[in-house]
Amino acid sequence: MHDLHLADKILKATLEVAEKNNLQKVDVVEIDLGDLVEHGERVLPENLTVNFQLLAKGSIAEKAKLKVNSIKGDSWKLKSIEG
Amino acid sequence: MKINIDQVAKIEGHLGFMGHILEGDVAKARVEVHEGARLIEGILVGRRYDDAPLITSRICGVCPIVHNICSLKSMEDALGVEVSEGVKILRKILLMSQMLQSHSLHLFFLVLPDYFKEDETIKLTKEMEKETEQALRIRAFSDKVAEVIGGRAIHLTNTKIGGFGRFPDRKELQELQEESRELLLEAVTLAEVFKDLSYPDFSRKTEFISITNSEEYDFYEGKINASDEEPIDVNMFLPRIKEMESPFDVVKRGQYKGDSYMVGSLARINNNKNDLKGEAKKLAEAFFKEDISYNTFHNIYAQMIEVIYCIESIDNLIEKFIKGGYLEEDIIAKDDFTPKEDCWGVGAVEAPRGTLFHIYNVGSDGNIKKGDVISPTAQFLQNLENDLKVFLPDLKNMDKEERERKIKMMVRAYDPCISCATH
Repeated sequence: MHDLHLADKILKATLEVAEKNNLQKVDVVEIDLGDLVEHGERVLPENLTVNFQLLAKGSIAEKAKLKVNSIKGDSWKLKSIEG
Repeated sequence: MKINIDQVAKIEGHLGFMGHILEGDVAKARVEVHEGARLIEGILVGRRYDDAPLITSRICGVCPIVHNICSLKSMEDALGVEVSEGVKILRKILLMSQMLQSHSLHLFFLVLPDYFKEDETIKLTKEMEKETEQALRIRAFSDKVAEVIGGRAIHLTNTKIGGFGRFPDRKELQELQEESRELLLEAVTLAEVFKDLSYPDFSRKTEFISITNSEEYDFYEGKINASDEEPIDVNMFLPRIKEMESPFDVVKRGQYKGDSYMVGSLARINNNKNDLKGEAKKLAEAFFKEDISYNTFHNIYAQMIEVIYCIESIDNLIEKFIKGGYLEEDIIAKDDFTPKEDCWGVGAVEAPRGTLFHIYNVGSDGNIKKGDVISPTAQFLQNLENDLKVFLPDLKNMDKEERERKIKMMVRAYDPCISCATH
């Protein structure tokens, strides 16, 4: 559930940057992901990727690969997009 | 082309929400909640009407029962289904088990550490072993009630549109009664701890909104009560929260007649405390001496009173159910309620954190065309924001740590559920 919420934010941020830069298609989305624990559930890269792909269907990021760098701390960050 | 983004690192979910507030940016916390994913409503579209109670239950792992029952009520309103008195009694018991589940968790494991200045709940459970066991027993009892009547402790399987899947076992019901009587004594002792907490001195006049049932202190049915006029029907009330073009153009802000309002235990106690009975009534009279308490922190003791009330009422309601002599045909749900034409319905129940609304539109093929869920958190966030505006200047001269602790205590008194609000 929390993975879905975060995936939604990542997708929205990605699409916003893509639009600003006139990208027609997004191929790679790179994020930093800390150790996020919500109600005892840890956000895992695998779940995040599945949820991202689910939400990205029909958008210009539909085929994008989500690259997740594990970092220390409890935050996340959109690093770069390629397309 | 590769675009590097210098995005500021963000913290997710509840921690992020708290983070914004601690930085003094309550508006940002609110906006983030209101712009949440809201995916459940999308999942509902195109599904059969009886999927709604099962799907919406998944909005929250803390309060699945209230979503399930609110969904059943709204669907029954849409499809024109009437349920028997026996079904209502069983649903009332289930809602009370939900109150116990959520309140016991919130009060003991989330609120107490703030008041005892203990960051780690686990440490506190060692220091307060007896009370911890009491809180856990309340929680275990509530799970058992949900299992006996609802089929499972969370995400109920036995509740259906029009009634229940199977008749609850009489012997198991009687065991619950016995257990509730033992538990009541323990809960009354536990209430002492919460009575004596040093609640911060705070007062801000606001509107309290809840369901009010003229016959009893009820979480299941009644009219919507605001202080400025006679209680009104749910479908009459919704348009007043905000001017809406359609029944679905719903609150994202939580205003009633242009101002914020509070829902939850304190709202219910303020509006309905005369309907309490037994031990709960005694405790409420001893603590809430004035007509209305405007101290948000009292929401915590209001929850404790509801815990006592629910334990006592579960016993009484089971008695009423058994004496009612209901037959299978009064309780067991029929199979098919596919409507003849396009229809819509609304329903409300009291959830642990306040009044919860579900709204549905079902097509003549029996599939959901639109669904909307208005959570208590979405409604009270603006009130929390307004409370904090008044509370923050009082904290100006405190050191950072103490100040943050006080802010967290106020947020905790509301106990916002980010999962529910962003479904």
